[in-house]
Amino acid sequence: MADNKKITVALVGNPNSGKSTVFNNLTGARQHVGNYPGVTVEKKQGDALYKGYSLTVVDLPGTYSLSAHSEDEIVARDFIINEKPDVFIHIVDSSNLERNLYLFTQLSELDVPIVLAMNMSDMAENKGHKIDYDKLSRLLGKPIVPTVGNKNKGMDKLLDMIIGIYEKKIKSEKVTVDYGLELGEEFKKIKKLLKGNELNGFPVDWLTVKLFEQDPFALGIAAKLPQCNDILSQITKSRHHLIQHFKDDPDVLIADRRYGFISGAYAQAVIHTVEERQDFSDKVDKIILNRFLGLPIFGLVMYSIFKFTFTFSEPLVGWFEVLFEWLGGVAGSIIPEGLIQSFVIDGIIGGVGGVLGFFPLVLFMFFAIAFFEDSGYMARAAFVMDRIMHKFGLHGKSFLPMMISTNGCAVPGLMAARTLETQKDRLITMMITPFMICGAKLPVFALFIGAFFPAKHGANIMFIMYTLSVVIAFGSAWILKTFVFKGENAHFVMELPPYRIPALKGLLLKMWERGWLYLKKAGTIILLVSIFIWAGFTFPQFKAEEGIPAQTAASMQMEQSFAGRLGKFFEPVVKPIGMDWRGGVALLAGIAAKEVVVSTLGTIYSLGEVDPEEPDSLKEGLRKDPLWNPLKALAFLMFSLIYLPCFVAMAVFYRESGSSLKWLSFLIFWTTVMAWGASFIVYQGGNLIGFGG
Amino acid sequence: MNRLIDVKTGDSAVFVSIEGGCGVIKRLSEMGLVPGETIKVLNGSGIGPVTLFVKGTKLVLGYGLARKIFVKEVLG
Repeated sequence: MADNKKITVALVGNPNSGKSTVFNNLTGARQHVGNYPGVTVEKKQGDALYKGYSLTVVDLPGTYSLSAHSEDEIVARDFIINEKPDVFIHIVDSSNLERNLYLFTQLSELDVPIVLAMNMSDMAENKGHKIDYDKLSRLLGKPIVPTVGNKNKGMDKLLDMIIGIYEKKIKSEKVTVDYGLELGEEFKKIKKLLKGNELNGFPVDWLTVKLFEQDPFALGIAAKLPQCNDILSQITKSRHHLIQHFKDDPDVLIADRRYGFISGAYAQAVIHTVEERQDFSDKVDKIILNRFLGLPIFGLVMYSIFKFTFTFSEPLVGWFEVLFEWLGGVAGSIIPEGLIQSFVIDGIIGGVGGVLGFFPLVLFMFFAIAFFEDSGYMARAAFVMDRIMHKFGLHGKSFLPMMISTNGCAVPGLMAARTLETQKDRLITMMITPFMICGAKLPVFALFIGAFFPAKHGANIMFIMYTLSVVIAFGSAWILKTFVFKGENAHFVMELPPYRIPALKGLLLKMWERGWLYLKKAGTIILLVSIFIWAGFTFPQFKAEEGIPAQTAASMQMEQSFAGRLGKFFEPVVKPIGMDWRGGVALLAGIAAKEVVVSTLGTIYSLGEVDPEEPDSLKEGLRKDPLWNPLKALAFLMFSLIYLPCFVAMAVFYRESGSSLKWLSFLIFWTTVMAWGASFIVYQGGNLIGFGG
Repeated sequence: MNRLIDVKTGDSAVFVSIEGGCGVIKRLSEMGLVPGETIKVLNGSGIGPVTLFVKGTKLVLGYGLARKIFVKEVLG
């Protein structure tokens, strides 16, 4: 229907109020997930058709107030204030009315049309809270719909109410908090100065309170007014006066009055029929937050996410591999040998295969994470490790991305950083995640350790590498925290949601949304870059003379391709760390995928196809080459441990950092400098004490 | 006046003040931690984060933050 009337609806509410469930119920599968521009916050939007109306529903990030303390809250606040949706649905956890209504007092001051969805109304009843909805509706001036999100109850009524409000058949009245005599007097003084101005369409009452709170957004509006100096000095005077009078922070006074208003309404409309008892969640918390058991349980959960991700995605990854190999074979038989064949097989099919190869990993990991998020564990997991992680500028949840990357893969690891709340935590975590030893680095290590060190030392060297990866990651985090992301650490206060059994539908939706985001956002970049890399190694074309063995021809092609020339150009840079151009080219190729280092060396040493899993001939070749020795091998290992992540990881990093070229450049710079520095110390230091061969 | 981290698990106390910048004070007040509010310590291990019962929900405060909070009248 083209003539559908359009309504924009915004879902607001505290975290854990069941907003997502209501969103899923209202929009079903008609959802699009993206990111808000420039930030790492997820933007969720969906459509619904109802009684001739076409509704666009926006699920805003959970927020406790409109003061915007975190990035999520800023996004929610900006949307509420700037986008002016037609109707707000304020979703409230009925079993925790007092805290949840705090946001309401602020929304109400904004004087926007609101429907209150009293969600989890069944839980409130179970807890023995009898809510008189009619009375509460009168006290708050808003229509109320009791809902049970996870049982899909009350949704039609909610939709009816949205349309009723939109058509102005149902009233949403403005009710304001009584801030008391002293605050009221000061508000009046500020209000007087605002009078007669066009305030960007904001209600003067709201702006007054916000100005008094010295909210940056409100101050920005005031700054454009002719009376701005008077307003600013009045705010300072008023705040000072109140501090003198009450000996308390004025912001605390405001919060106190708002909670007072809520308590009043609550006392009138809610009756507690049962004495509050220790509930199931409390009992579980006694164990999970226990000072001795907390850490092992945390480790177990993290390990199970890791195990689940990699075990269950393995067959799928295998099928994809077989599929793309088959496709390559088909293409090889249809298209005649030459450039086009090579482009289709290595460039396109290889690129698409590369994108899809990670897809099952991302899906399974997000399913496992969603399970622990929705069950309520993740909120707890964050602070089990908090004290240790905090010292390094990290967050308790930073552990998960690092864990996923170790022996696993940095691509899902970087995406797991989504579970962190603030931009700063996300960026620091993402910056150090690629330092972990991912599964693709293992064949490179195995090759060099196998070639240059006696078997009995293999395990020791691997152990040192693992330790080093952790030390470098934590060290980098500390440096980043101290020098790059300066400023106060976010104070750690959050609400603990009760434990719940996750709904399968919710888990699947979450998994699909985030997985789709990977395909859509990172996939295109990955495909383009893989074609670019293919071209770098294919051009300019090397004309092999008759009679030269194919393997030698491949080696010569590699040497004088763009990539080979680049490697030679950079030889002076890698000389001090014990490498010649061949090492440089291999590392360059490793940006495509770390295990490619092995096959590239194979090509350079004219060995033809070398299977990264079984590189015996290559080990031999390296060992015999007089240009290599154990010390150089160690420096090479060090470099490949630390340097640039593969470009798939970089593409994901770019997208997940809010498409920021600045942070991507920083990542490239940081990893390169660290890698070169570490290799330099190993190689030159080793030479100094006489380890060089 | 006592420090919040000294309150034993299961005991209740009255919130008095917090040593900190305006941002933290505001944040906590919006979460319901205003002077005079009675809070119950659900998990105060003394070394790690502190779990509280305030305004009908559970809050977790990082140790660093909990250390800066003062309370009074620790009731049995």
